[in-house]
Amino acid sequence: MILGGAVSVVVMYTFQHLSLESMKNDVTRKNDENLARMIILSGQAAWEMYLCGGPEEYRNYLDGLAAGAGIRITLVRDDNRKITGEPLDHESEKLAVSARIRGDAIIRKADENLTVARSLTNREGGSVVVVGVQAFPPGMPPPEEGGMSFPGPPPGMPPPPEAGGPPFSGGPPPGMLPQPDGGKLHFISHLFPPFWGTGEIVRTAIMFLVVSGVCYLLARSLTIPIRKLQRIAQQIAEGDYSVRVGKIPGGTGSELAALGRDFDIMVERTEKVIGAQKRLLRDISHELRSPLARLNVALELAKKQLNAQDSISLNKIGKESVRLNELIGHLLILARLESGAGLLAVEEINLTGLVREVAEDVDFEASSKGAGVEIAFAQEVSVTGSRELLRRAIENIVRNAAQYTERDTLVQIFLSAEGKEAEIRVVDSGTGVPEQDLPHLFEPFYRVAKARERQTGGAGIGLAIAEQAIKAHGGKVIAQNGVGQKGLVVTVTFPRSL
Amino acid sequence: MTRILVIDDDVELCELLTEYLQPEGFDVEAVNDSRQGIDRALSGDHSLVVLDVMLPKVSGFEVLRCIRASSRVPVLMLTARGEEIDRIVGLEMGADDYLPKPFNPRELVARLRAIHRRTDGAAREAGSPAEAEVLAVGDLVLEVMTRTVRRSGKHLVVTAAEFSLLRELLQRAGQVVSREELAERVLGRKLAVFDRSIDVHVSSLRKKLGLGRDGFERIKTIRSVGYIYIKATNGDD
Repeated sequence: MILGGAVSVVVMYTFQHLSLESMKNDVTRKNDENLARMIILSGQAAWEMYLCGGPEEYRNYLDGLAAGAGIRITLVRDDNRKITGEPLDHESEKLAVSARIRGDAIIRKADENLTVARSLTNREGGSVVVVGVQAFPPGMPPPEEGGMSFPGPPPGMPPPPEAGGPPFSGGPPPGMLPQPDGGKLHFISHLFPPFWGTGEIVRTAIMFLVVSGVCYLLARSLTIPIRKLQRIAQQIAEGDYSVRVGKIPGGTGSELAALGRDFDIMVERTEKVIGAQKRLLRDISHELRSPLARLNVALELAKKQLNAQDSISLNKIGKESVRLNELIGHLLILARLESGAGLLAVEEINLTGLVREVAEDVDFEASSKGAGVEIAFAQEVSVTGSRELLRRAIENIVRNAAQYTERDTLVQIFLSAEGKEAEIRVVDSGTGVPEQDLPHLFEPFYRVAKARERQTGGAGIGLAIAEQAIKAHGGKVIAQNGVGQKGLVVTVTFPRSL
Repeated sequence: MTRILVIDDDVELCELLTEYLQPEGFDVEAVNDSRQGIDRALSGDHSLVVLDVMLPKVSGFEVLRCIRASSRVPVLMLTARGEEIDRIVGLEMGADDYLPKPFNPRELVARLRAIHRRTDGAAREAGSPAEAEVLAVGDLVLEVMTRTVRRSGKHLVVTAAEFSLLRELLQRAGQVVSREELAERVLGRKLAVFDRSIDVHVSSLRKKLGLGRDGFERIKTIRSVGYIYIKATNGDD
């Protein structure tokens, strides 16, 4: 938080120091715009004055304007003469013509003078061009915001019809013409006299100290509750739903306190939902398995009573019961993994040993159909996680490969460690999977139409479990068809423990 | 006949089990309620208890805790398959073995016989003077006849499975005993892939025995092989 204060001081300093120039330019431009607007408004007022009060009133107003604000206004008729009928100087005539053509304000800045021209129309359809010049004679103070002795339009005057449409709204004013004589914005120096005097430095330093102090306190009052929220969120991410944010320092009315309350409500709901799901899983497990338990005992009883230990049909019932039970088990595992309940019993696992065990087991199973499993390459790798889940995941992938590899071919397993990742690649020599089916291969009960016809029961969920289990270990699994050869390549990667 | 107590709320299953186990030489008493189950288990009428984890109202773990508070009767837990945590908790709380439900009744009979052999065999051994062995390693004394374990003269309460396990390890103190061998001799069966029974029993045993005099674990794990009871090298005491 001290850092935060320091940073804000540095930022403020850089801001002041570096963007002073652009700020000055910005202020100058804005100032010019306001001035131009004022001149046009004065012109409008003068016109109104002329129409209602006659030339005498009009001249008085213009004289007052020139004396008080240094603004000289000329109203130009359509025939390019002054409204009073006097002839016009050449420069003003040119401006009046341009303003009529543009229909918009023209602002010119040369030396100390700001020249503005704009065509105006009134309700009766009459039109006139205001040409106004604001000059800063030597010795006259530069105009300051709100401090100008400027008569302005008389009170009670109805707004001129075009006053509603702001002549300079947003962006660079459209009337700002390129200055042909290269007139620069000289009066910047008037607006911003050098202010880095000793007194100013002291004042600025004090300001920075105060600002950094305030920033520090502000940052503190923000980070304390945010840290608390973060800590609670981490605990929840680790699976502890019993934690609550509770009271947040900084008052009950703050937005953060409201966030904390909403957060608690959310956690409460999540805890209930997860609790209900866990209960449901246990109930299903119990309710579906109780009949199976009875079935198993009844079956063995029947075998004994009928003295039919080798009865094919009774053994078939037994086998189907085992299969059904496995399926329930798999569904429960999948449901638990998908609910994000996390891993149980996390330990350090020798992945190489685990893959060897799986390869041996599946190799034995596959030998009946003349296929086999071999470890083509293996590095020593350890990972952290649930041994049971990881074994299941790898076993399901290898078993799937062994099921679809062709007769007398070998499923090859490559186990390697690179950087922070462990990679297991399982390659079979089957017919592969149609490209359009590849993304769905890990969906529960997804069946690839023809190419990989299911031969035995119990399939369809193994790969889904594998994917979820690998995800729970922070890894991912991808299936691709082999390049240049038939068969499927399943690649599993997860973070290894170093 | 071996008298066994089955505590399970599934009435039909209990009936089927009674019918199946009777000819196998087991006299079954079935109880469907937890509280009644605790009472009956503590009566001393049975040489074995089969306990379901999923009991309504009072859970199987709670029943086990109540039984273990005052009895060392062997307990076999019936757990839900896939609930690894149930198995570990059950064994840690002093169950002698577990069997995932649904089970094959032949497997149940095999487990029951193994547990019975263990306890009954020990009792028979105790009867014959030749078997009245006393194993003393360091400050630890295991007496087969009275089935007691003492550390520096202080009596330690261990379950039947833990006792058999410790006996195997002490008989060969200083030598590695493989997990498979321990499983066959202590549990009377081979270990399945995910079966952590031996490891859990060792873990509870370690807690009960405490650290050795040199401040190290008495039972050392030899990774992917088995366990060894460390024999003090600087002589006994």
